[in-house]
Amino acid sequence: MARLRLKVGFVGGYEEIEVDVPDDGPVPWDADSKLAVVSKSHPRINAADILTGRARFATDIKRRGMLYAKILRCPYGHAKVGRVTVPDIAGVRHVEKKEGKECFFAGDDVAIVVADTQEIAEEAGRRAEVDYEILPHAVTMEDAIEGPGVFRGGNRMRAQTRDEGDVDQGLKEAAVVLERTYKTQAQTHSCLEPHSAVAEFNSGGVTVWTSTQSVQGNREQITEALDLSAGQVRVIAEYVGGGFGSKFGAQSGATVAELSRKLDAPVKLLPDRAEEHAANGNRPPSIQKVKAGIRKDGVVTAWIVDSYGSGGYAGGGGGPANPLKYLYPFTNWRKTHVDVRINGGAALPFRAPGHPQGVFAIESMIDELAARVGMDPLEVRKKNDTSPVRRAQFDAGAKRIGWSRRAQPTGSEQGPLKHGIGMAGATWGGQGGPPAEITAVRHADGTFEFHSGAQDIGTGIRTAIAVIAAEELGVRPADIKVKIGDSDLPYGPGSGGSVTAPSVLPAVREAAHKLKQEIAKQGAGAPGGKITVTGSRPEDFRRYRGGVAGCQFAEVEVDTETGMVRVLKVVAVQDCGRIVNRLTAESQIQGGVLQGISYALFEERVLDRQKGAMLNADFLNYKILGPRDTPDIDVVLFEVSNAGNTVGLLGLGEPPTVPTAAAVANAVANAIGARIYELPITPDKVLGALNKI
Amino acid sequence: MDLLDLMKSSIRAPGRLVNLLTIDELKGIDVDTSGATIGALATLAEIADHPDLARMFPALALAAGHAATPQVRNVATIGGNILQRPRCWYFRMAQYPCLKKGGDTCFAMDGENKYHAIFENSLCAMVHPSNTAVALLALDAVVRTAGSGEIPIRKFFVTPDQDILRESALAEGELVTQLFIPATGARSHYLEFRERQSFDWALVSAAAAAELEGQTLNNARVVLGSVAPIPWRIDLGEIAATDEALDRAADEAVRGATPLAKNKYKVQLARTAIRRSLRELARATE
Repeated sequence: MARLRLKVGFVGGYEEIEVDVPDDGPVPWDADSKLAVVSKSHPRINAADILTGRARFATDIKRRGMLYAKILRCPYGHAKVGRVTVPDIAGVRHVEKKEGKECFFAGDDVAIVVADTQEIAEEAGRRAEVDYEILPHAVTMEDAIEGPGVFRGGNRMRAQTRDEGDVDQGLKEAAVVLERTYKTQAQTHSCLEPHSAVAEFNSGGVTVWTSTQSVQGNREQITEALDLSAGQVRVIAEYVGGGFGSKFGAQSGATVAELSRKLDAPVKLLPDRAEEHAANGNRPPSIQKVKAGIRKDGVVTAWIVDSYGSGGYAGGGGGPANPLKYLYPFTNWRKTHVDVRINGGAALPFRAPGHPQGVFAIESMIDELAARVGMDPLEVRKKNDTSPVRRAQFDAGAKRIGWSRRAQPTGSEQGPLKHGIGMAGATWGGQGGPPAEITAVRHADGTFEFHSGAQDIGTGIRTAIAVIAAEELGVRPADIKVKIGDSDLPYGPGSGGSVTAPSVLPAVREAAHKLKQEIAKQGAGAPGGKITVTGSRPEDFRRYRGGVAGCQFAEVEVDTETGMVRVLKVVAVQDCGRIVNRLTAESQIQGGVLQGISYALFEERVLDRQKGAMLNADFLNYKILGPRDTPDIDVVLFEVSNAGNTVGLLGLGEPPTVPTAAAVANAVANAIGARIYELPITPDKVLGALNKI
Repeated sequence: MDLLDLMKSSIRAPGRLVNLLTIDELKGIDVDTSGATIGALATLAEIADHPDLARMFPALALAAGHAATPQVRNVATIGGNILQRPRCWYFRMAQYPCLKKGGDTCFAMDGENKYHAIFENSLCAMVHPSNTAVALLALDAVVRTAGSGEIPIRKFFVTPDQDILRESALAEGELVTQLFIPATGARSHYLEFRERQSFDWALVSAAAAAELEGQTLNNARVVLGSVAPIPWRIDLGEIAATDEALDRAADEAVRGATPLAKNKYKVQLARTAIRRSLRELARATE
C-alpha cells in the first residue's frame, strides 16, 4: 500500500487528506488532476444508433414464429373474478384464466391471451367476457383512512415512529409554531418504452429480451420463477427506453419465459399505455401533517411530521418524510408514518423514492416559518443546514437566479401577472460501491473493448465507461467499444439508487489500468496479440463527505385571473462529485428538473371513486410537460472532489428531481402571497388559494 | 369524427371504413369578398397558416392553431374536429355505461368533474371538445352537407336535452362537405386557458367577434368553449369597450352558471376569458 495526499473539496473549501492505495493500482484523481477526456462533453458513443433506429429495444425484438401475449385486466377497483369467456377467434393459441381471483385494483390481471399476432391477441381481449362480483373499494387515502375496511387486516398499516431530542421542549422554545398539511399525488413512471419482454426457449435454456434496469437481477428472478438452474437464463437489455425505478421486477420477463416454455415458441408481451399507467408502478401519494417551531433567530427548534403514504393495494407506501433527518439535522424531531392501502396499482421505486414529496413539505414549511419571523428563507436554511457544500451552492444559485430581485413585496406588480422566485435544497446518497466487475480487451488489431453487465437506462453509462477507459488508455472515447446490457457479461449492478456510474466506473479504471500495464509489458511497438484483463470495484478508501448536495431556484409567472402557472427559469446547482461526461451530466439534471416541474404542475393519477378505475390512463389526460412548458434551465455543475474512489464521482440520476417541485411551490407562494399545499399546482388550486372561486 | 380514438376505446367497432381523403372536392380553402369556403378535409394546420383567414377571421385561425400538436394539426381536418365525440373520460371508458352510450346515469355528476360543464349540465356534463367550433359559432358560419344542404352553425350543435346520443344535427349518413364563413367585417379573436401549454385541452376557451365603431362594440358576441355540451354563445349586442362595461358583461354572462363540485374555478376562467377576448377586439387596430 502507498500513502498518498489528495486535495479534496470544492472551490472555496479545499483540504488535503491522506489515503492508502494499492501499490499497483491507479492513482486516484483529485482536485488537481489534469485530465484530457474526463469532465469534457462527449456525445453518446451510440447516439447515431439511437437516432437512426438501429438501436434495438426489447420492444423491437422479433423472433421467427413469435406469439403475442395480451393481459386482460380488471376494470374495477375491487372485484372477484367469475367466469372468463374468451372468444374462439382464429389465431388465438393459448388462454390462461384466473377465475375466482380477488382483484384489488383496476388493472389487476384476470387472464392472458396468446395469439399469432398482437392484433388478434388484443381483439380477443377486447371481446372477452368476464363476470365480476363487485366489492367495496377505497381509491383515495382519505377514504381508506376514514372509511370502512376494504383489506383484510385493515386499510391502515402499523405506525412507525422515530424521534430524537425533545419536541415538546423544542416547541416551547419556538417564537412561532405552525401546523400545516401537505398533500402529494400519485405520479406514474410513464417510461416511453413499456415493460416489454420477449422470451425464446431452446435446448440450453431461455433467452429473455426485456426492458429492465437490472439484467442480472432479472436473470436471478426468472431462474427462480421458472425453477431453472444457474446458467440456463440469459437476459438482454441492450437499450432501455426509460425506467425511473419501475423496471427492477422481472414480471414481464418471467411471464413470457413461462409461456414460451409451455408453448414451445418465442412469446412477446407489449403492455399498452393504459396498462403502464394503471399497473406498472407509480410514485406513491402522500399526506403530511407537519408541526414545526422556529426561534426569532431562524433556528428551527422542533419538527413533528405525521405522514401517510399509499403504495396502492400492496401496501408499502414509502415514507414521504424520508429526507427530513439528513437534509436538516434538527435537534428535536419526531416522525410517524402510516402506510395506507388503497385500491390502486402498486407503487414502485420512482426516482428518489420519498424525496420529492418529503422535500415539498419540508421546504414549503421552512419558507413559511421564515416569513413568520421576518427572515430571508435562504438565511433560515443557512442557519439549519449543516452541509458546507449546499451552503456554498445556496450562494451560487442565488447569484444566478437574481435572488435579490425577490426583495420586492409580493403581489406589488401591476396587472394580473405576478412573478416570484423560490428555492429548495436536496440531498441524496449515490456513492455506489462493490461489487462491479469489468472485462477489458485489447484485440490483436489494437482496438479496445470493455464489458459490463450493467445496463444503460438512458443515463449514458455506456459512454461514461468509454470516457474513463479512454482517459486511462490515452485514446478517444469513440475508440472504445462497450458491451453492456447482457446478463452473461461480468457483474454489473442494477441501476437504482444512482449507483451505476459510481459502482462501475472505478472498476473500469482499474481494468484499463491493468490493460495499460499488460500492454507496457509487451513492450512498445506494433500491437501484439489479444490481451484480456478484469477489473473490480474496490472498496471506498476514504470519502470526503457523504451524500450528494444540491439546490434549485425557480422563477415563475402566475396569472392571478386564471391561476395558470408558468415556470420561466430554473437554476439547478448540483454536486456530482467528479464530472465524467459534462454533456450527459447536464442532460441528466435537465431531465430531473423537467420531471420535477411536471410533478409540480401537471402529472396526477386520477382514480374514480365510483368504480375505482384510473380515468386518465393515457397521455391526453395524464399530463406530462411539453416543449412549451419547458423553462430556461441553467445547470450549474458544482464539482466536488471527494476521494471516495479512484474516479471520485457520485451518482446523478435521482438527486436533480428532488427539490424541483418544492422550489416551484415556493416561487408560486412568493409570486401571489398565497400558498398551495397540494400538488400538482393547477389553476383550480391557485384560484382557490386566491379566494377567487 | 375522431374515429380512430373511438375505435381504440372500443366505443365504435365498424366492420368497414370508407376513406374520404381521396375526395378532392372536400379539400381546400377559398377566400373571396363574400367570405371563406373551407373544405371539410382542410387540415387544422392549413387553416391556422392561411394568411387570408388569419386576416379576415383571426378567431378561426387562432383556434385551429391552438388545437392538439403540430403533428395532429397536420392531419386532423376541420370536419373531423367539429364532429369529435365527447372527450369525457367516463364516456371513453367501457366500464361506465353513461347516458351518451345508452346508459342511465352521468358518472361525472358525482365523479371527477373538474374538466366538465358549468352550463347546461343537468343531464350530461360533457363539454364540447372542439376549439374550432367555438370560433365558427362566433363567426356565424354555415355548415354545408351532402344531405340537407345548409345548416346554420347555431343549429348544428345539439344539447343532451335535445338528443342525448349525439352532439350534432347531422342525420345518419349525412356528410359535412364545407364550412362557409360570411365576410361581415367583424373583428374577431380567440384565446384559451389550459393547464399545460403543449398539447392540452382548454379548460375554458373563448372566441369573440364584434364590429368596432369608435369605442363601441356592435353586435358583440362571445362563444365559450369547454363550459357546456355545446359551444356556449353569449350575445351582448352593443357594448361600450371600456373595462367597466366589459367586466359587467362578463359577470352577467356567468351568472347563470351551475358548476359541479370540482369545477367552480371554471366560472372565474369563463369570466376572464370573456373580458380578455372582448378587450382584445377593442384594442386591436389595423
